[in-house]
Amino acid sequence: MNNEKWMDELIASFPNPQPQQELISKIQQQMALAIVEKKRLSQKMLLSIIAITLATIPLFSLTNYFYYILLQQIITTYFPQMLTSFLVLFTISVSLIGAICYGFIPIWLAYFLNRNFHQSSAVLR
Amino acid sequence: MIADEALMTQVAAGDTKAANVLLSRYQKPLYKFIFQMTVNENDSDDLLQETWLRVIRYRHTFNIEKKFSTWLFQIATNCTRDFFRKKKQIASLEEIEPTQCASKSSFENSEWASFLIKSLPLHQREVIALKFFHEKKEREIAEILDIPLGTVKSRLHKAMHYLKGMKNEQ
Repeated sequence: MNNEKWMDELIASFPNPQPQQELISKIQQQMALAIVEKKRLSQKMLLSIIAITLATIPLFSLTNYFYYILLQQIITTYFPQMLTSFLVLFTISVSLIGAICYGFIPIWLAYFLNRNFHQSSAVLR
Repeated sequence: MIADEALMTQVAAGDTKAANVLLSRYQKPLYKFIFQMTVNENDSDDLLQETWLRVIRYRHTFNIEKKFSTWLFQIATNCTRDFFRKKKQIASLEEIEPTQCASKSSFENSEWASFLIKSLPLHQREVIALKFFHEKKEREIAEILDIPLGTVKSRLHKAMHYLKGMKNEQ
């Protein structure tokens, strides 16, 4: 396609503004901050992680519960004198602790990464 | 002079000075390109900032085997597309239809040129700006816009046909 004369005229007459020096300085500052900015996690991602974790806690608890039932059977095989009430208490408490840890670790980690993001972006404003 | 790609490798490693060198090299052509898309200085200012922030944010995804300017213009194109998408969602009625401008023959040259470029659909504006204002090869335009070479040619043809028609009407 030939670059026709009228096209040259169009290019020549099209406004050609230059970026202001203040804008360039602002960009330089933003880039410097963005380079040192830590790996961040968006609000959307945080909420997704919380939702997925909370939604899967019942499934995790159930799996955990069956695991301890199996563990109970193994314990009673080798230690038949062990109290059943203790085993029930053991299963429930350990399943509960497991569920809390399961939920707490990813939620805390996501919140921590998210908080880092908000702290660093506050500097940019 | 250090190549852009080498500077970008330094930026990926966290070198702020290298980022400033790239900014000084490309601030004018990039601003020019963004302005050709938006035909608005305030929007161009915002988009220039957003483009460079994306460069830093996605610095680890830059492929050293590819040309930096192509990657940079790709980012700028995506920024402007996102901008127009959002703008369309927020206030599609705000924008004046280009065809509604009645007194086009009385326009000053620069106003007429702005009007002509603005009256093109964004996808045609992109190819016209890259081809004629930035003298990019069609193959590079295809890479920047992530479209087949044939599509670049057809968009160029349609845009030129439209511009020629408008020019003849003047």
